[in-house]
This record gives sequence, structure tokens and C-alpha cells, in this order.
Amino acid sequence: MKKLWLLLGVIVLSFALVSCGGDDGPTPPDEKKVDLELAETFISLAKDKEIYLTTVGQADIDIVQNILETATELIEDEDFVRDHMLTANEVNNGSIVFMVTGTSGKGLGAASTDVGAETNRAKAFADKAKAGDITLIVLHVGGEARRGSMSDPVLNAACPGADLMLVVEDGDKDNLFTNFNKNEGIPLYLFSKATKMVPAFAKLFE
Amino acid sequence: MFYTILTVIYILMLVVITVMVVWHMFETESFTDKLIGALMLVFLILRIFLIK
Amino acid sequence: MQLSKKQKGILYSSCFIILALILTFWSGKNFYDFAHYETEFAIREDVVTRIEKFSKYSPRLKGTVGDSDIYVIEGAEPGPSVLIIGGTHPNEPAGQLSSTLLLENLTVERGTVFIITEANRSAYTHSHPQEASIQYFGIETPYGVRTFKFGSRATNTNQQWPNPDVYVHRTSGQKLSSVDTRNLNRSYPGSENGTYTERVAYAITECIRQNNITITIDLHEASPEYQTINTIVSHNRKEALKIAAQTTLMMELNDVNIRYEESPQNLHGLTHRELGDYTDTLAFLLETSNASQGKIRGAFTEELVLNGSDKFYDKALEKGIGKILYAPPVSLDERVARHVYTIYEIIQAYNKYYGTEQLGELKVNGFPGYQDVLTNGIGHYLKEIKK
Repeated sequence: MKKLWLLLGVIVLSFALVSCGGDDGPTPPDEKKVDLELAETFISLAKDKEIYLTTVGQADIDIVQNILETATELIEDEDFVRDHMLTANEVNNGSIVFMVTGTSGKGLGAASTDVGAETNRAKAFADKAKAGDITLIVLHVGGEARRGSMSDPVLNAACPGADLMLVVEDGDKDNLFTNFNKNEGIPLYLFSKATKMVPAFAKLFE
Repeated sequence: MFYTILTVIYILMLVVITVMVVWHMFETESFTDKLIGALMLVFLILRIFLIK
Repeated sequence: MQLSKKQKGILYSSCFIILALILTFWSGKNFYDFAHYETEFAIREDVVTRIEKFSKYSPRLKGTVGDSDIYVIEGAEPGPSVLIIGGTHPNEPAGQLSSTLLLENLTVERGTVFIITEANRSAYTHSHPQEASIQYFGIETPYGVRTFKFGSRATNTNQQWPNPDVYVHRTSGQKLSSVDTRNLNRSYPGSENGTYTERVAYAITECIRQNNITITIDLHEASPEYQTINTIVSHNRKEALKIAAQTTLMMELNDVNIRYEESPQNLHGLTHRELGDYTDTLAFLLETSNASQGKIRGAFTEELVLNGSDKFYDKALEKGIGKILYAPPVSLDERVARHVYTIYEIIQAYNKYYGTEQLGELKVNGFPGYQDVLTNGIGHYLKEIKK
């Protein structure tokens, strides 16, 4: 009798295994479009606004500053404010904030902060943008290396409030940014390399 | 070579230990002890001459 | 003749002692030869202006094994300067090979280039215990095989003993493991009368300070599973970060993946921290991926060092074990190509942003291209050693 129950159990379990994943197979992802020109809506988005550049994650801000300066010839302190630890309270209404995401452990150490604090800072900016007080551009230029357990909490706090996301494609392998675009309608532009963002920045300041 | 007084004391200690190991190898009846002593000698001598 | 038990004992002991002496002599000779082997570098007498010694800056090193050479190449015009440090960790061969390649190829029009190929010569006299590493590896050149040593990460205990269980960094009070007492890259800014490793670090710091060296680039490698590989670590000075960012962008534009990190304030003793804090130099440290330093690797062979290929890393990647960011195998040619190209872009970035200032531009020629080093191999660029 015991053997019969055992056999029955094995047969039932076999059916349970077979019935998992009833689809024919994984659906291939939609091919992502990269290096597109910004849509008309974004042209001159940054013009005549107070400009702030910050990082939530303490990484790659210099790269974005380099791109900004290459595209626009703006000068730090004269034309824009760069502040690693900028808070939403310090930003005037009507401003545009370029928020560089991607976390560096070394950068956090250099700035004496942590992922929790950066997440809170990112959320405050996202909330201010959702309220319509500021324009928030979220950037991610570090690729896959700047994703993971230290970066993703900050991204999940920042992206929902973004007016525009500019992302190097390698950082979107798991479709985190694409999903924000599809599910929450946050505009997303993917780029093959960070340097390909230069024309986009030029358009923002046209 | 880069010597300090501690290096000299260290080498003297090693020489004493080496002599004691050799003495023990001859005194003991245990085959295993003799073998282990021989293996230790390799490291001790290399260290005395600061080769390794 | 029948031997008594005591006589047998004496016989066995004597045999074992003789055997031990043979083993000692055989292994000792091997270790001794390794410690005293002098790696050769091709010095172009019409290009290299002078060769200085570490003891010029840290006198207590004179006559000791750690009194390394500093090769100085001066341009026709004065200008900014760069120090390229290779051989800080002799188990990271791309550092030494890159600095050697540049020593044997660069010419300077304007400014000065300082090159160190064996920053920690004491560490080149031994290898790390229990790693079973190779002792030598060869690079094929048009002139035959050039032999380089594979040493240890740390100063030889022959030069520095005893060492404390806890290493307290002299200037910051930071506590690290005992082994870091003998790590040159935890000893900066160094001390003239400190430990042996601190004296070596002091020599390099003083060289930078006395010569007002504009840019310092320290060449390193790390295991494939270490998160800071293919990275430029930059001191926090604004100018250094700007250069690091521009270098990253330019390399990315040319399809060479790299990123930059800021030097953490709370990790002391490293070049990218202390040289930037204690001198005016713009300090950078470069990392590439070296499978022979990895913990997953199998047998330690010359092939592993030269080609970076290892079946256990292949398996780990296949199974997605560990976060190995940049897929091995990464050959030594590729690692050297990366270092050399990064140094080139750092200089270009400096010239772009600061070349119009008082010192002007640093004009250095002779950098082989990244693809060229990949295609031709390091050996193609190494020159003949003239006796």
C-alpha cells in the first residue's frame, strides 16, 4: 500500500513539473531603438531655466558634465550648478535638474554617504518633479557595471518622477528603464555610448 | 641584505632550533620524527641563510 | 654485518640529513637565482636623458635591493611631466610590461616623462607562498624571448621583518591586515625612516614632490571577480576627475570599455589617495583584469599569465557564478594595450583642458595604438637589449 501511494505521489509530481511554463517558449524581446533624435517636445526643454547637475549614487557625474559642456559650452558656476549632494529643497521651482544615477561604492565612501541616503535624496527630487515644480532628467551612463543592489533602489526612487530618461543601452539589459517607459509612460532614450548623448543635450538647450 | 638587530637575534634563534632538531633526530627512535626533522631542516636552513 | 638499533638510528638520521641538505641546496639555488635575476630593459641612450635611483630621494635605500631605477626622458622644451609607475605589485605583470613598452618606445617633444618599471624590487625577489605561481614568463620579440619575473604582491620578509599583526597606517591611523605592512600600495606617502616598504613609498612621493610631477599614473591588475577592473581610479581633485571622465569618454568612443571611480576618502595608503593629498600631482591608478590573481583559477601556468585563459573561469561564466564583469580570457597583450591607451588618453585629456595654462602641453610620441598592440603583440614593441 505504501509503495502504491509513493508511486502515485511521483506521478502527480511529474505532472506538476510538466505543467509548469505552459507557453511555447520565451518571447523574444522587442528590439530596442538606440541613438534616436529627441522628439520635438524636448527641444529647448532646458532653455532659460536654472540648471543643476547632481548625482544620486556618487558616480559618473564628471562624464555627464563633460557631455553637457561639449554639447553646450556652458560653464560650471556661471551657467549651471554642480553639486554632488544637492537636495531637492535647494532647487528653485522652475529649474531643470540633471540627475546622474549609478552607484559607486568608492564614490559613496568619498562623499561619506550611503545607498539609503542617496535613495531618499533621489525620491525627494522625483516627488518635486511629479508635483510639477521642477523638470527632472534622469541619466544612467555607466552601463551594466553601474547596476545591481547598490544602484537599483536609487533608480526605482528616481525614475518614476523623471520627465526624461537618457540611458546607455548596456545599463538596460534587464529592461528596468524600458519597463518604466512602458508601464509608467516615462520618456526614454537609449544610447549605444555615452558620447552619443551629445546631440540630445544640444537639442535640450537649443 | 637588509639587517636590523632583530634579524640577528632571529637567525640565532633559528640556529639554536636547527641544532636541537638535528640532536633530536639522532636521539629519537621514532622513524617518523626523524623524517619530520629532515623536512623541517630544509625550511630552517633556507631561513637561516635568508634565501626563503 | 648486523647493525644495532642505535646504529641503524644514526644511519637513518644521517641519510635524512643528507637528503634534507640536497633538497635545501636544490631549492635554495632555485630561490637564490630567482631573487638575484635581473630583468633587462632596453635603454635607448639617445632618448633616455638620465637614470635616477630611489636612493636619490630616500637615502636609506642605497645599496639595498629596493633601490629601483627611475628612467627620465626629457623633451627639448620644458613643460608638464608624467610619472608612470609599473611593478608596484610584481604579480600584476601588465603594470611592468606596459611601463617597459613605454620606456622602450616613447619620445618626448615637450615636458618630461618619468618611468619606473620595478617600483617594489624587493617584491620581485620572491613569490607569494602557497600560490604555486610561476617564476618567469617569456615574451616573444623579434630579437628572441625576453624573460620577465613573476613576483609577489608584497615586500620580501628578508627586507622587512618583523611585521605587526595589525598594520597602522602612519599618517592616517587606519588599521589594516598585517600583510598590508609590506604592500607598497598601502604605504604612501611613506616615511624616510619607516619600514622598508615605507621608505620605498617615500622615494616615489619625494620624486613627485621634488620634480613637481604633473600627472602620476600607477599601473595595476586585479582578479576578474574584483569589481574595480577596467577602471581608472582618480584622486578627488577636480582637475583629475575631469581628466578621468574625458579619458573614459574618449576610450568608450573608440570601443574600449572603461569606467572611472573616485578615490574613497577613507581608504589610505594608496597612490590615488595619498599622492594626490600630499603632493600637487594629479594621481590616477589603472586596473585591468588578471586571471592569475583570481581565486577561481586552476593550475598556475605561463599560459594563464600570457593568455588569461582558465577552464574554471570559463565554467564559472557559463554557470553565472559570481559577478565577473568583464569576461575572461583577457590576454596580457590586451591588458597592456588597455593600460598604454589609457595613459595616452589621460595625456590628451590633460592637454585639452590644461594645455593652455602656464606649463603648456605635454607632447609625447611613440604610443602604439590599442588595436596595434592587440594585433602585433607586446613583443613587437620591445627593443633589442644591447650588451
